[in-house]
Amino acid sequence: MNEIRTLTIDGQLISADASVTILEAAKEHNIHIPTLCHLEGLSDVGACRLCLVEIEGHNRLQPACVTRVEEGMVVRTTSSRLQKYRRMVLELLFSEGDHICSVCVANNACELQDLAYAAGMDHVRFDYLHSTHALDASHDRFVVDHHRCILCARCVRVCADVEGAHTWDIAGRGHTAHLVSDLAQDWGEARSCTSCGKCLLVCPTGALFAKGFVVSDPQNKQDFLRYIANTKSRKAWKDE
Amino acid sequence: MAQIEKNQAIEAENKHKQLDRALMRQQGRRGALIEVLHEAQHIFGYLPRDILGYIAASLQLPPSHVFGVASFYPSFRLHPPAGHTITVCMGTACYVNGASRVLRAAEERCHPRAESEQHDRIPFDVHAVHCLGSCGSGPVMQVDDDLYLHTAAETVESALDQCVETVRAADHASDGTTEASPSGEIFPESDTSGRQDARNNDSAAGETDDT
Amino acid sequence: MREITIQQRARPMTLEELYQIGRAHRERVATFRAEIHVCGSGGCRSAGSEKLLDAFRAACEKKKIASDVRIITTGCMGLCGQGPLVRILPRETLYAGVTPEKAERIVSSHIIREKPFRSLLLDADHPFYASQTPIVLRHMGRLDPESIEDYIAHGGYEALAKAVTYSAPEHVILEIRNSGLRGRGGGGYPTGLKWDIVRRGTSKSKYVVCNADEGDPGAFMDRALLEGNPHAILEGMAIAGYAVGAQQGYIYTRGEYPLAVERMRHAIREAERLPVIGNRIFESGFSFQVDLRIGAGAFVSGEETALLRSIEGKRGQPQPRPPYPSASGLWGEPTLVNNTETLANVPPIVLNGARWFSGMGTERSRGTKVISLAGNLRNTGLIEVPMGTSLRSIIFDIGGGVRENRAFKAVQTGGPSGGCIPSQHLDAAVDFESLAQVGSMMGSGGMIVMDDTACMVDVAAYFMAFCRDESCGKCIPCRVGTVQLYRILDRIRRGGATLQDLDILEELAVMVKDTSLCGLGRSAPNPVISILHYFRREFEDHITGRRCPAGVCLMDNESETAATAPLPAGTSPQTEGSVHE
Repeated sequence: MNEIRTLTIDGQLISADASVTILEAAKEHNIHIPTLCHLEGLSDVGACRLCLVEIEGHNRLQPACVTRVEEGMVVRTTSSRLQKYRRMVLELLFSEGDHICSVCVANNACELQDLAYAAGMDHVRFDYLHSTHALDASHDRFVVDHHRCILCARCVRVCADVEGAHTWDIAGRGHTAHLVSDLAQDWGEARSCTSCGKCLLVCPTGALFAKGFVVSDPQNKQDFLRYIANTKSRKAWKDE
Repeated sequence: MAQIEKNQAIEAENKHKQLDRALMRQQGRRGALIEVLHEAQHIFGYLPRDILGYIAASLQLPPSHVFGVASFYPSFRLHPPAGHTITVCMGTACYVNGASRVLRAAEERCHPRAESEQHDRIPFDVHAVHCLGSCGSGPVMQVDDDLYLHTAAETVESALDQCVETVRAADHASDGTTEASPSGEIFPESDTSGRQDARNNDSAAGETDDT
Repeated sequence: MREITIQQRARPMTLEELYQIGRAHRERVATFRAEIHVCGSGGCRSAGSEKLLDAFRAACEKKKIASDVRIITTGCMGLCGQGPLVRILPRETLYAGVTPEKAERIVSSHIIREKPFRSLLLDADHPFYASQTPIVLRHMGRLDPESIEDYIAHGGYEALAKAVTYSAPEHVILEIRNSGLRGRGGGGYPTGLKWDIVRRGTSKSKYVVCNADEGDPGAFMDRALLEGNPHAILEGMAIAGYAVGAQQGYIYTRGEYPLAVERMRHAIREAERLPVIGNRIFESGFSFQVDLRIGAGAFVSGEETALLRSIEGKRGQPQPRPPYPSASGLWGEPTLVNNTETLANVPPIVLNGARWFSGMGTERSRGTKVISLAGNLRNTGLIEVPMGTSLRSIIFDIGGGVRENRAFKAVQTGGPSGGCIPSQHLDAAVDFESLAQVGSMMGSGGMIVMDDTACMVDVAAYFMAFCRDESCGKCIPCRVGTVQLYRILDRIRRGGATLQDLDILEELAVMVKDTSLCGLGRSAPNPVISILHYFRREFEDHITGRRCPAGVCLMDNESETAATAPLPAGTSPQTEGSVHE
């Protein structure tokens, strides 16, 4: 089963197992590809489009997180076009929600913020859409602030696949899509929630956070992320 | 009064029995959720929250998944319908002929923004749909089951006024139930528009053209 | 896994029995003195053809010939713009714009006195019909869609019987490959190649899915087929199932098509009753079941991966490809997803051979294309022309040119995923490559003609609003990008934009096209890009001149009401998800 593929990523000749994705192969060789919806240990959805890469011979950009390596592939992870597109994806996200870092619990521990810094995104060229969602603080210990949610669905996946509760899901669609717990009830009313807090730990922004914290708890978060990344028993979790 | 409550209880029970039968039919069928939701909406008129919970439990699916599916598809109603519906076709051909103005007029009439006009509110849900299938006679508007061809923003106002009269009268006559459709002639005979029976017409797809 | 339990006759049918049914039916029909076919499809129904059926029955009753005349409702007869249409045999004649009052006079003139009823007569060589080549539509408007016997009498199920009796699956695939048939849903992928990939899949359970989730506004060919000739689709599916080795088929269509759903349900029941689908079809080793699934109003479910999720009972959100459905589709099994029209092409190819089919059309696009012709045209309706026919000949010969002698401005092809083609490209051929070359696409075959009263900025905003409302919300470029694109277009429409906005519009349009996850997002900017390309002047007029050349858009200072105000709170989610601007 262990077939080896040889490919080139950013000019670097790489060999990788046939079963790995471009993202995994790149990571192994310290080539950084920005990601947002991807989280090692969870199933991939290919939704954020930040990890798009150019592959020679393909006229379409491919998401590195779900594209498997192939023999002789020539991959480019950075180009002025990719850079421009990544910045625009981030601009779109910032325009969609209310991402005001200075008052956010995740300030300085936010993946969205980090990505925006890295992309040199200093302003947003689009209209701010000022979502009209509510903030749900009905849970004893946790809060969900939908204004900061980027719909990456990490919480949905960790809750369904790792915790097995499937309290979260995405409801609605398009620009009305939003996160719901159980039957779109207040989080505090959601009976399936085990209050395990895993969703808080995987949230890339400050959308899900614990009560009583003014700033997020990066250490706790890092420990958990390492834990699920290292649990290679992905298959043991319900793979959806 | 007690009799009415009793009747309502019996009706609710009947509906639940129907749902149970539907669930039974779908048992073991893969991917049955959407089919069940179709049937539930047919039975209840919309998808009440507790019914979604019941379906989730019966099909052994997470409630959030069921809600996610129900809210994804526009055909599923999560709130009780208002009783009467105005559907404005926003297909390309109707749009090019000014359907957006018709829609706006209908919306303003049914959901006035100004506080002072609230008493004027007409008890209609206004929907826009992609195509009613009468692309040659646009803009097309449907009030409950009746199709109105060649509508224009200017005629919508008066049409709606007459509509609401007939509907209110009918509602009154049938003692508060919402089974009614306007029976009055809404467009004058001289108008180019034809008022047509559209009861069989939800399926219409092609063009009609009066030229 | 068998999903439906059906009562089946123990013994499969034979080819001889099939011929017998067809013969018997033809003989029975021949005993009638006359036949009246009333179009019961789309446009004709909304023009009141249902009442005609009763009117003709009453008229025959009155003339005491009721038992001698066969009156049936048929599928679409094509010229929907002049409906209701009625065809009368013998001395085949088509009548247009028939009203119930005229029924009796038509009966007494055509059937009793054997003279055509002149005033409603549609010329036998009417230009609308003259340059068509009906293959998929060959039986449309000529047979009773609710009678399997009628379909069999017209040669139906013969292709299936012959395929499973005399050909190996590989040979069927070879025939389809050689025919050059390509996917009619818009992609244009070679059908035979797709079948071959699914055939090679090693899994035991494979699926065939008919994508009849036709969502483009103004396109109604799938509906016409489902309503007018449902058995042709079933037969095509069964042949596909035999070729790729699937035992289960699904037809996925829209809930907004209640008549199509009803006809298809009926057709499946009849086919199972005979049985021509079911166990050991025509005494071969091949068994095939078909199940109907109804969508719930989401346009994006027409995307194949989203459609499969929807059949599985999930949110109809697309998934990244690869893996393609042909490798991992329904429940992870190899799945063949074909468009309705593609499948309807299969039986005639199997019967008449690949060479016959590839003799039509162009080098790279073989065969014919069904097109729904709508908009500001004299003749609107459903047509079928050989691939490679020019836009000009479709619009001006078949369509009769622009209505009210106005000037032609653009033709929109491919729905919300396509583009607008201006008059300088009217000689472009209708095939997959040529339409792409002029910045549009074939799509499912919807064609909407616009005259000079249309504002192209407004049209661009309309299509963007459609895509914004139909985006599933999974990937960011499509979910947010379409909202932002729409806002810029709306700003231009209302005279509040700057030339810088135009640059951002172009940049964002290309970005959404390049980075979106599925076909919906990738093609959502197409109308904007093509309109910007051909009608840039109109954008500039709106921005710098603050005027709408066509007089459609209200500039902000002139408009009294806020054109873009959202629907008030409390409206049902149905309204949220629909187009409203």
